Amino acid sequence: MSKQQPASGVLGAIDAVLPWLTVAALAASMYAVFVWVPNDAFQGLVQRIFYVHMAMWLPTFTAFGIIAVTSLIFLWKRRPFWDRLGRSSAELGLLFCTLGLATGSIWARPIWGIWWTWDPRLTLTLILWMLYAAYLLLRTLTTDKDQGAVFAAILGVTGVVNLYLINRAVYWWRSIHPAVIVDQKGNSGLADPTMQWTLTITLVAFFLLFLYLLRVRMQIAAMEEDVDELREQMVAAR
Amino acid sequence: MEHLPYLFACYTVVWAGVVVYVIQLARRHRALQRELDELKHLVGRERQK
Repeated sequence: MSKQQPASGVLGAIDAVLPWLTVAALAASMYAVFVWVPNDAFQGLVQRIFYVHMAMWLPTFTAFGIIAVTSLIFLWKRRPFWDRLGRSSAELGLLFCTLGLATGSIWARPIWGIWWTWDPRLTLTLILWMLYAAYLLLRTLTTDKDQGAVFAAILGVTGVVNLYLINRAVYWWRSIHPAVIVDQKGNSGLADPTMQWTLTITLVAFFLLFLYLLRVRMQIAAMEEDVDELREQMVAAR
Repeated sequence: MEHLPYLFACYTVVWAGVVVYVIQLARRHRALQRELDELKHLVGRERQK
């Protein structure tokens, strides 16, 4: 039976609206970053990197959250849907984590004077990138597909500890990475409301992009499973 | 304006990454659709035999 089912109801409506909403939000975010927002008083023009750099982390951490939850459910129920969702999330997590590390590095060069430093948060984020890569690689390294999915799920559940460590790194260890954008009293590092709005719009835009790409990647994963099933049917028929 | 190349490089990297990934997804989708159609056709023919 085909796993690709035409979306109906709420999912159908989301499929129809999401691509256009994403394009509009991305256009609005680029307008805000390059035209609307003023230059930062200290960092100048290069501070505009910060908006897109921050926007990479929301999808990155959400993707690993999805992996952790779906891995746990997959280990319990062993239903392919959960593995498919985890696998699709991992691919997108790897993309956004790569872009987050790259944008951070480009920002660090003019501000810190270096491309990279073994700061606790940066190092733990690099470990997160490796976890994503390992989660995807484990499947190709095992000959048994189901076994690969189980190994990846175990990594997905245990690897979530790293998310907590990334969050705590700036408080537990000496770090040059900025700690928080908004503290518990509501004070923000972004003084101008235009800056706060630009950050919000960019965060929303790239999160919508993540959701849209996740939908598309899930459909492709379903097609891959259909192809595998049909191949098995062909072998059985001969 | 001294840091303009960094700003340019940053947004180029982000958009290039997204565009390359989207193109790769589209290619994979097209190839899978073609393979699915062929396999469905072959399975149907095998069943008719």
